[in-house]
Amino acid sequence: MPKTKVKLALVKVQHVAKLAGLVLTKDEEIKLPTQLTQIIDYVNKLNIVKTDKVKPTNQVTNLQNRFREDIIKPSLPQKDVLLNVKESHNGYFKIKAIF
Amino acid sequence: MVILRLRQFFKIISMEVDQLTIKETLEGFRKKQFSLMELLKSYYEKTKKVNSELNAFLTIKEFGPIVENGPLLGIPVALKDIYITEEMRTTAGSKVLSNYIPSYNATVVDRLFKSGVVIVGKTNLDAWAHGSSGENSDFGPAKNPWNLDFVPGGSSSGSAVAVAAGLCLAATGTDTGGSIRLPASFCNIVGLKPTYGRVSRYGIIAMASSLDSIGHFTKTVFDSALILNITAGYDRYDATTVNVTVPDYTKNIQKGIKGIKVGIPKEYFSVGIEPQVKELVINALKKMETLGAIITEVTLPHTEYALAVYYIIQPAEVSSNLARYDGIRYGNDRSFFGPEARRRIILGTYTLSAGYYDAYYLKAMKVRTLLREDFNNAFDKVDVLIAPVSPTLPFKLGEKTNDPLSMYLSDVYTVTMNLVGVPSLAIPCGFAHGLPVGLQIIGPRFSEELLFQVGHAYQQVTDWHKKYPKL
Repeated sequence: MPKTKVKLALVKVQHVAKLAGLVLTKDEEIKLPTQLTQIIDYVNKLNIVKTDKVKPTNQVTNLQNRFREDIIKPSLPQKDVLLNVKESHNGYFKIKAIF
Repeated sequence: MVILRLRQFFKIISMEVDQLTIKETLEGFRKKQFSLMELLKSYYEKTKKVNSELNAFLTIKEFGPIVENGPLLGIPVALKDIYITEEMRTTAGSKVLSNYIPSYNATVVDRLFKSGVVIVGKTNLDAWAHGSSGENSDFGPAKNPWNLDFVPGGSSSGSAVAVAAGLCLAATGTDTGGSIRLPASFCNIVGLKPTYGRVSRYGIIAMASSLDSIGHFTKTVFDSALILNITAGYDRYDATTVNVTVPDYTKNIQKGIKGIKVGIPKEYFSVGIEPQVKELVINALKKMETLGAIITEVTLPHTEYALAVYYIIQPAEVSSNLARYDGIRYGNDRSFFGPEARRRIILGTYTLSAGYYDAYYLKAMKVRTLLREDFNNAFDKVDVLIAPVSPTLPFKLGEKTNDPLSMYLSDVYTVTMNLVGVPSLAIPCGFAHGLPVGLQIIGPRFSEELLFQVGHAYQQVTDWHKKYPKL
């Protein structure tokens, strides 16, 4: 686990925010690098735990490969699905062009 | 004259009805001491009166639809506003969903409705269930009914306040790292975090999918069992629900605790615990000993790493679950996320990003395995574990809002059960400086019946749970 006694660089935080579809506020640009560094320093305490031979726990139920019959059932009516959209067109979602 | 009598009658109801439990209310209906409409009206009027001060509810309903029959017919229940409800606004406490009207019900909502309960409203919470105090709500914090300057605990803040203040008889919550147990403890009520997979998560807005547990608040352990009877069980819409028989959780509740082995995990009574909290939990253990429980010390050696594991896994899963909020299909765009959600999304995106996954997420999942082994080893020796819910008393509003890490430390005694997937029942065990303190009874997976048995036995010989805040 990387040591981050050094404060996380603002440019790094901005990059991660961009990956997550967020734009930092002025206040966050000041506070977040320090706050995140504190939290990451705290979680870095896991470095001292030996885990070379330990398998990871992804889930706790021990259930595996749950399948169900592939039977088509009625889904929500189009009208209900579009209930909360700001804009729709001919029963479709209307969004901005992405290219 | 008739009108006068009616008024007096209503007065009597509104003074006493809100101190009844579910069990007593159902008896009241049977004996015709009050009618369903009288009861609901009295709850509605009280809620209208006190909600502006407590901020427990985000949506109040006078009369929801009522079914004709059911084991809990007429029982007023509030839903944490993260349970989606058909045609009823669901916000998750966030401005992102300030105008979201779902088109279907969560499985648990459907099950409760069919059991006869009346949904009386949607309760306040830390936005997206992120928080330990209720202060991260985008709609203002709920207040602790025992002292309005103090936090009620979070994230299921409004649900805990609504039950503690006598505004409903039960309320639903979600517990991803303590979000039911902590507010239950801070508000002097009973809170159940069931086994992961016991209750369906379908239709409940996801926070951290490998940790989210669906539970509830009540005034007594018996009432908690009554609600789990309804909510537990396999759901075809949630593949993590386990097909394990749902017993009648009230059937063996009277059995007592003679001969039951109770383990005290020593790590939960050491560093950072306030002396008053420790004393009250020890007193409760002594009480249980007089009832015939066998108390022994056990060790959960990896306890000190649990919070670090949690603060890797949880924000990572949060960042993934909150990626779907784009404002296209419902809700507002991502600029509406509040500061705590943004902090967790960024933290989670960071630990999952290229080059860091193995160092953080994978490492955390490995230590999670060690935590599970700790609990398996402990449950080889004892039937249940008992520990405090929180190392501290409830804290003041504003006390921790500028220091996220110190806020996160409030969950130090609760997150491990989520990582391990075991059930835990929080119950009141006393007061210090006029503020409530709770303990938690933890058992192996699917041992809810035993937890109720232990909690119920304790509540038969104590009356902490019968104390109500003055409003």
